[in-house]
Amino acid sequence: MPSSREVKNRIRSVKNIGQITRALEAVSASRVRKAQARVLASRAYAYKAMEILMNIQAATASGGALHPLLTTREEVKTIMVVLITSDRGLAGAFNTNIIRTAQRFVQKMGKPVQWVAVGRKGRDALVRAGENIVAEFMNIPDDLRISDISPVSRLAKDAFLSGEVDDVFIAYTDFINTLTQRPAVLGWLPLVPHDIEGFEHIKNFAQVSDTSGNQDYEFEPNPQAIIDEIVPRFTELILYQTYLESKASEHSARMVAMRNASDNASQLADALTLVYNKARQAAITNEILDIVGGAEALQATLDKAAEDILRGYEQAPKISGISGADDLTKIEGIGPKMAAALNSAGITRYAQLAQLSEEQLREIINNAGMRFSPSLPTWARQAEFAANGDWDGLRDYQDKLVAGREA
Amino acid sequence: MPLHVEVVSREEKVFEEKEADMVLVPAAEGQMGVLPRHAPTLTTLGFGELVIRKGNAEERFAIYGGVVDVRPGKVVVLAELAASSFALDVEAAERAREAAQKSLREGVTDEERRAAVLELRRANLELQISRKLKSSGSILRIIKDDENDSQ
Repeated sequence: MPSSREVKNRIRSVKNIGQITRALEAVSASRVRKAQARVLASRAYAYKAMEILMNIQAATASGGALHPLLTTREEVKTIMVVLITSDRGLAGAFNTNIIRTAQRFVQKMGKPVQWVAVGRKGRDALVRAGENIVAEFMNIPDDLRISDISPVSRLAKDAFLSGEVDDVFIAYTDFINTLTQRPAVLGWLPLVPHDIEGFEHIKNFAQVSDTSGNQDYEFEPNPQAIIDEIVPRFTELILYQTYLESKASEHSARMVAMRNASDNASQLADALTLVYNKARQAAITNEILDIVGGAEALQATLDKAAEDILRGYEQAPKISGISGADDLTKIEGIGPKMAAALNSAGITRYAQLAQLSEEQLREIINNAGMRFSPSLPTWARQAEFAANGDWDGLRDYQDKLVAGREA
Repeated sequence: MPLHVEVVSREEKVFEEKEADMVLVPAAEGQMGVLPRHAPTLTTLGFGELVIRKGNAEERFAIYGGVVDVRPGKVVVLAELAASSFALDVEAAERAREAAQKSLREGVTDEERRAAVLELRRANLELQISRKLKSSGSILRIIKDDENDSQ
């Protein structure tokens, strides 16, 4: 089990990450709304422009195309794919999906490709795959104006008009709603509907809702002038819109990814808190066990000591409880142990000791499991002095003894 | 028969669809007045001022090219760029004019000179509109200010 300090550190770092992902989520949420609003704001122009284009084509009905950007090439030798991805990651499968879709599309087409990478992630993926990148655009601002992406459309337009490429596609991510974004490939140039057999991700620009507008128009000054005015702008607008769609998709993908990450972070923090509490409680339990064990050991010692004291107390009356018990250790050769042994045998007084024969003494000592003392034969004589209270006589007698024996 | 007017640029709806009595359009070939029941016309726009009149109120926009779709009951202006005449920044326009003149004199590439010419025309138009607006006194507007803010 990890130590509680390690767990605590991990909880802190997980919570920090959770805070960051929550902040990213909030930022993305507001950017989704902005990008969406801009798509809607530019949609009115796109629909109208598309409608006017169709009107003019219907009105002139000459069959001949009015603008080179409206002319389909008979033979498509080389295609160009503008791949719109994000500069930054942390957006779930957003970039992976569109890159894979674009590559599938190119495989399906089976033609030489010039790639234009808009966004760092797509650029990196194409470089890794060793694809032919003719241009890369990065760090396009989030609140972009059309002029911010006009270099991209100018490049594509020039390549198309010069005949370098014969078809230009935009691989972008269609914003359906916050939870759904669909990778798509849009036929961009020429500005006519593209139909790629068996490729479900193909999209065509602004499907016109209002076809009732077919009127007999007067053209001022002439249809060509109007076409020339509208077509280049419309071309740019399509790229702008697909870019905004991609932006909205990117931010909502990031929002969802970050929300999941935040949820995971709080779940992980909860799980780690549990581990932390377990570790903490285990530590406390161990401490308590230590204390209880120590207390028990101490208790056993105390019990034993108390028992000893009690035992000693039980014996005490025998030593001093009998009134007039004598201090047998006054006799030379009798130590405290021997005195206790004699006491146990009921001999507490000098007079008793004085009457004991050597034989009797030996028996008592033997029974007490003690060793005989060499001074034993003089004990009775010494006790006689003591019993008579003749302490001077006892001292004189003892002076004459050597190690308790009569010299 | 009412005349509905709508002004859209590629980046935003400049003027939400509203009823009007008359529209003055700066067409490429000259100023064009549009009243209800106008014949269907498609025409390109030049640099100029777009005026929308409703009763005695009006709304004015500086327009820098585009296309207008005129139908009997509806006018849709597809403007390349459109800015409300009432919100023009005179000082910024002056500065832009000077900068444009400078780069026109010093510009090296054709691209730079073309951009400078465009910039100069724009600045001149804005200054011209501002001057005219100032001399014409107060104008009753169709869009109220609070409505403007909420957009």
